[in-house]
Amino acid sequence: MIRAGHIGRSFGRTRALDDVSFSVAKGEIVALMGANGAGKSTLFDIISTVDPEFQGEASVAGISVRENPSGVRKCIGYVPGRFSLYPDLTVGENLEFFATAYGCSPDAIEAISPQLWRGLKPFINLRAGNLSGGMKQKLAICCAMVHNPFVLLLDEPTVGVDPVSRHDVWEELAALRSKGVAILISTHYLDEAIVADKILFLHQGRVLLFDSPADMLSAYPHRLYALECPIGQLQQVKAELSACKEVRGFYLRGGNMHIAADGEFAPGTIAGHTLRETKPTIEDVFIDKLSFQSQTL
Amino acid sequence: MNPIVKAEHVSKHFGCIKAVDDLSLTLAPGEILGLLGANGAGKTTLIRMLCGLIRQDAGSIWVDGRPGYMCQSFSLIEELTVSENIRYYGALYGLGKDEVRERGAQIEDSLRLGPYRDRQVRHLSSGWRQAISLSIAVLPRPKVLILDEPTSGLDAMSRRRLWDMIQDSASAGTGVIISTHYLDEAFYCSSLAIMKSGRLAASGHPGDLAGSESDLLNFFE
Repeated sequence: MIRAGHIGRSFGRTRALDDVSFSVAKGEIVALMGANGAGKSTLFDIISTVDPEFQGEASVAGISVRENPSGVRKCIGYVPGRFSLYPDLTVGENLEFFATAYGCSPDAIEAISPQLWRGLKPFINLRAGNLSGGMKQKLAICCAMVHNPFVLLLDEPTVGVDPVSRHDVWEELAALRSKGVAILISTHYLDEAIVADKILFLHQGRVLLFDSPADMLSAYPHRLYALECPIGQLQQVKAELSACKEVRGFYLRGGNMHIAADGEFAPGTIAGHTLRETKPTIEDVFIDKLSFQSQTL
Repeated sequence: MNPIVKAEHVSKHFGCIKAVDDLSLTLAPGEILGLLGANGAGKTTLIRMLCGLIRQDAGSIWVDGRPGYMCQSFSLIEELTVSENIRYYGALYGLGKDEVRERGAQIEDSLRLGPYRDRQVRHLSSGWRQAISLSIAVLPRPKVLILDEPTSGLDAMSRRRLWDMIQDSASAGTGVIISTHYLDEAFYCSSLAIMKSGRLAASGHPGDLAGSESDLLNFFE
């Protein structure tokens, strides 16, 4: 449903996107990840037809973004990064506004996304500005879905939203996926990315990884160890690990120090604590990949 | 160990809404206290009271010295360079020129900011701006550091860098109160206070409260 081929975009001397290719199939969720400034929002701007000044090819449902932007707009629902609703309008008025703009009825949302609307309906007369963070995002998705698009684009819809509300938002997305909607969503939450069908990881405007979470995990190239690390011993642990030549990297993860090592790494203990081998998470995969990239401001 | 923050039976109302309701907590030197809760649970109101930005309606709050504070939105002056921001805030904190120069050099070294010290802050990524904000918050060497969702909207690497800095501060004896929506970050903390509708729903060591991130969700329901 979404096809991007060799997309490039520069702003002055800054190369925001460089040779980015990927696709999102019908009924698939692709999580877009990467550091702040990696090019995620620029990519959304291009696919949502906001930014026509790009190189390469992009299409939605077979329609060229460059040649027929108005045709693309009918196929997509877009939830931008910043709260884009009218805070002084009520929930019902916001929905009516967006439905009118798309030339459809606000009542359609009841059939398109019944679960989502059921949660919002009790607040229909409440001003959008007075909704909680999670509810605002649910309303934003409703407004983006009111014209029943094939494709949903969501730019960091769960920033600052509490874990339960985030879970609710993702349940709604899973319901839309099962109805065949193709979803491209950017997030910094790794627990969200892991439930996507694929993760597209951008770094400095380029595709660093594009694969399913399971395949990313199975391709992790090191043995990973965890060490419970009391805060008071942090410096000692870091010093001992820095002296081990087999250690490729170490970093805090939860209450543990994660240690990526190769070869015959069997120190027994570090700072008096026993190491245990553990399985990598998606965060370990990203950290490993990024450790080969230069740190940029 | 004597506490460096002591809040006893603190309450705060906004109109008919009880934002914080009869809440008590303490913080010890070197402790990292994670403040969790749903949107609207009262975390930011509590933090603003602990910082002295708003006054409680009932109860008492005592903090050892002026806390270092960092909020979700960037507090740096975007038109100034990194070095200028450090000098500006150093002067605001009443530090001498030599001390500001020395601490500024330490910050630039530890964050490897060298090539960028003369770059305007607005040209830096949000992850780096938060790291610099945190460095500035600890400039006057506060005994207590209060951080309101400092990692919101940051990517995984930037979060990791910020947490390294927080852990380093705590290992040097600073007490830290930090609110977050990232459940994995709860396990970076030495203790947790979980708020629900303005009240303390649970508190204790993360491992004692929950075996996993998903277990923590039970406290939000």
